[in-house]
Amino acid sequence: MTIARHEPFADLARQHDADRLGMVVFLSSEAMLFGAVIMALLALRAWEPAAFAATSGRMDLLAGSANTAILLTSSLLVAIGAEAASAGRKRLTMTMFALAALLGLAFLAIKGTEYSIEYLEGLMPGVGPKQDFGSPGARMFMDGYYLATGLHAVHVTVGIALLAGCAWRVHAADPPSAVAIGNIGLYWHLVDVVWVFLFPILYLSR
Amino acid sequence: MALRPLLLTWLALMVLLAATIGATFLPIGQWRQLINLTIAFAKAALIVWLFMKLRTEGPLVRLMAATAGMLLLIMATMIVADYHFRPDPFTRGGPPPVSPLATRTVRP
Repeated sequence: MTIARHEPFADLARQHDADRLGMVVFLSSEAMLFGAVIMALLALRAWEPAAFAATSGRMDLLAGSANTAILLTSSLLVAIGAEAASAGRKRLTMTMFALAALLGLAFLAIKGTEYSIEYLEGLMPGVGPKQDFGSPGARMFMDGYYLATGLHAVHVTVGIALLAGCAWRVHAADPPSAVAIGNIGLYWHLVDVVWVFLFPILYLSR
Repeated sequence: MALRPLLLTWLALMVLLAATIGATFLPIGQWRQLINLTIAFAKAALIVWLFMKLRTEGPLVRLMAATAGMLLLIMATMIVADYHFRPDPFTRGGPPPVSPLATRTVRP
């Protein structure tokens, strides 16, 4: 799918810049949002190192690691899909985006299982019959954990909808523009980048 | 279609993931935190540069992406300055710091 030059752009390079710039500005605003949350977690870790490490140790390392691998792999599929789109191979784009959406669902399933286990262990702040934090710092960790992973899960959900919708439209022979396909890919990669930072801070600060 | 760079990037990301999990179990104290954060930045750089194709973008788009990084850096600097220059930061000598959380009780 090659992109033709259109008015008012003098050449393809400037048109491409204009196509991308809006999305990159939006993704930058997303980076600001998650950056603030991540820095709040780092500040808490500096302020309450013992409680932070102890509560991080109660996170499910296997589930967190699996989810990181799942998101990194889905990012690869999305990158291949976007590459296929610019090479005009629409079926491959559809397959890759659909598989990436499935991996996104797997991520949410594992995350949901973690949430339910934490609920039973009394680690969900203010919810459930049991509350077992041990220290105020641990409670703050879990507050931050749910804020960060919850906000991230919302973005994963939106990303799955975008990927699945895109795959469906390619399947129905009504594909989104090449620019839109590229931007959906960029969004998914940013969701991945956010998790790359959340994973070591929340799961590996033990 | 050039799939080779993408697959190599994925492979590098997986190796870094294994490294960061492995580093967590090394008996090197707080250095682990530094290693883990460095690896996180390396992974993010690989994704942004090769998966998000910043490598092939023009200066305008790169500048916008760098602006996001700069703004986050400014914010990080301010947060570090804030915590470092508080009256009784735990990072320096003197009596042990009292966390603002310590005086409160956990709501059941």
